Amino acid sequence: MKKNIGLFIFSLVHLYYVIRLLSNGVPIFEICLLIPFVIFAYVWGYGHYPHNQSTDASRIPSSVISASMGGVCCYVLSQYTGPILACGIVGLLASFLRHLFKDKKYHELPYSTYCGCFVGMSAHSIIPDAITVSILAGFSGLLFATTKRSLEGVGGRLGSISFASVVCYLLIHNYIYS
Amino acid sequence: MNTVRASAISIIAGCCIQFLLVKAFPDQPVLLKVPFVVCGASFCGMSSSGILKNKFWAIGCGIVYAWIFIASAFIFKGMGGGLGTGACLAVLMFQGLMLLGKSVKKLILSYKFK
Repeated sequence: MKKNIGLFIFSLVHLYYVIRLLSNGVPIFEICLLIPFVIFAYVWGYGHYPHNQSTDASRIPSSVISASMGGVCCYVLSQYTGPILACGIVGLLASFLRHLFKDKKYHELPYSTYCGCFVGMSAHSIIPDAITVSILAGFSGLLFATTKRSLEGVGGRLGSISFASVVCYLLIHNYIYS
Repeated sequence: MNTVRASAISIIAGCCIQFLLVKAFPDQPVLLKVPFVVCGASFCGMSSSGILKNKFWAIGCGIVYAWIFIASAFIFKGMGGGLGTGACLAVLMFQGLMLLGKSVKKLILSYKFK
């Protein structure tokens, strides 16, 4: 059986999302409307997205650093403007990175920065300090670089990656402090 | 324009529209949610043209996202990436719906011509 790690990670994140919806009282018939189509899209995706996801290792450091920077900028800015406007401003600035770094290896920088930005949108009650945000955003940058070809072209993919890193943090945090 | 810039501009536009709407109708608390919905819907719009083939598909996907947002808004409050994950599920659901529709259509056509 061919392995597609990226698709597996995304399916775990989406499964967690749906379970949280169910456990918080969202009616089951609404979930039943959602699930079959999503599973169908996944089955189709399993046949269509490339399974050989060899990652160019030279792109990983730039992705991690840019995601970290994006996350911290968004987190700091969100104290003054709110998370949505902060995300918009950092995303707009990140979109010009492609003009600054013309090398082909840096073409993904706006995407990885935007991915880190979503981690920085977390509330201060959930992630209390900027150092944790930078670590989590860096982790999301790493996930972004390694799962590049999975769900390619599907909107919300970057958000799912950030959500994965935030959920990992919350699970570890709750485990340690419980 | 790349998708990141398009999404960021629509988010900033959504914030400006919300600011004006709140000024015009200060006693409508529902308007405070406008930027969140615009933000999530803009993530749906970041899909490639292979997935959302035209503007009508994008509108359909936005409607699906609005439904997911209504169900999940209070559950993932403050969790980074929650809007994006909802958007991703909306796009996948819409893609699945369209693919299923296409398969059923193909099946009916092949049955008709037998």
